[in-house]
Amino acid sequence: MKTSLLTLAASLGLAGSLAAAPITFDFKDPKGVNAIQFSLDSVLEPIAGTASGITGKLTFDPANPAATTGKISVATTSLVVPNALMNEHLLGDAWLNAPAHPAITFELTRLEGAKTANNVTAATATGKFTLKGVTKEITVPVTITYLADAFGKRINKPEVKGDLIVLRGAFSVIRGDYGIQPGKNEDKVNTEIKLSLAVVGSAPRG
Amino acid sequence: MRRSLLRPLLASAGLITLVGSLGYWLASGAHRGWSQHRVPVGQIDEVTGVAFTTYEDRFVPGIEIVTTGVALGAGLMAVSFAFPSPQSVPAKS
Repeated sequence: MKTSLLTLAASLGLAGSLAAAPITFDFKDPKGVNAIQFSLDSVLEPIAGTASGITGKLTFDPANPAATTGKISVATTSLVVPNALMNEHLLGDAWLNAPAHPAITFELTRLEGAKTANNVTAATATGKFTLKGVTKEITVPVTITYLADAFGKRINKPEVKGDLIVLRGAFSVIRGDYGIQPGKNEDKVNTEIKLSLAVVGSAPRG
Repeated sequence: MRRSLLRPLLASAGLITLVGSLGYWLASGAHRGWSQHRVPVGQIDEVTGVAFTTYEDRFVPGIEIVTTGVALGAGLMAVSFAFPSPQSVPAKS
C-alpha cells in the first residue's frame, strides 16, 4: 500500500513537472502564413508590405512566462511590396542590400512585467534587433497567446498532438539608425519603419 | 503622308490615348496609389485568429499610368494644332 502511494505520488510529481516544463515552439510555420508587416510613410501612399520567410524558436513556460527565451529570424529576400520596381529597390544595395545582409533578427534577452490572464501573457520584450548588419537593443510590448492542444486542429489533423503559441507585437525603428539611407530621401520616404508581427509557433508532440 | 492628314491623325491618337488610359485605369479599380504587380489580400487564420496577407499575381494600374496616358494624349492633341487643318490646305489644281 505504502509502495503504491509512493508510486502514485512520484507519478503525479512527474506529471506536474512535465506540465510545467518549458515548451520550445518553432516559427517555421507548416501553413506558411507567418509574416511580419512593415510600413513606411511615403509620397502618395505608404510603402507597405510583408516578410514571410520567418524561422526561429521560442522556449516558453506557461507557468513561468518571464523565463521565455528565443530568437526570430526573417529572410531579407522574403520582403514583398506590391510594386515590383519598389521591391527591387528595397532589396537593392541602396536600401536593405539583401545579398550582403540576408537576415533580419530579433533575439530575446529578457521578458519583463509579464501578466497572464487566461492563456494570454502581456509583457515587455527586450532584445537585440539586427537589421542590415546593425544590432541595437530594443524594447517591444508583446502578447503571447498559448493555445494548448491546438496544433492538430490548425493543420487539419486532429490526431496530431501539440501546442501553439501566437506572438504579437508592434514597434518602430528609425531606418537611418540601421544604415538604411541615413539622411537621404527623407522628404520622400519617412525615416520611421513601422513593424508589426503576429506569428504562430508550433510544438508538435510525439 | 499628306500634311493635311497629320492634324486629325494626331488629334485622334491623342484622344484615344487619353480616353483609353483613363478608361483602363477606371475599369481596373481607379487605384490612387502606385501601380501594383501583385495585389495584397487580407486573410485570417481561423484557429489562431492571426491576420495574414497573401498576394494575387495581377497588375493594377496606378496613378503614374493614368497621368502618363493623359499627359501623352493631351500632348498629342496639342501638337496636332501645329499642323494645318484639312480645310485650310488649298487643293492642288
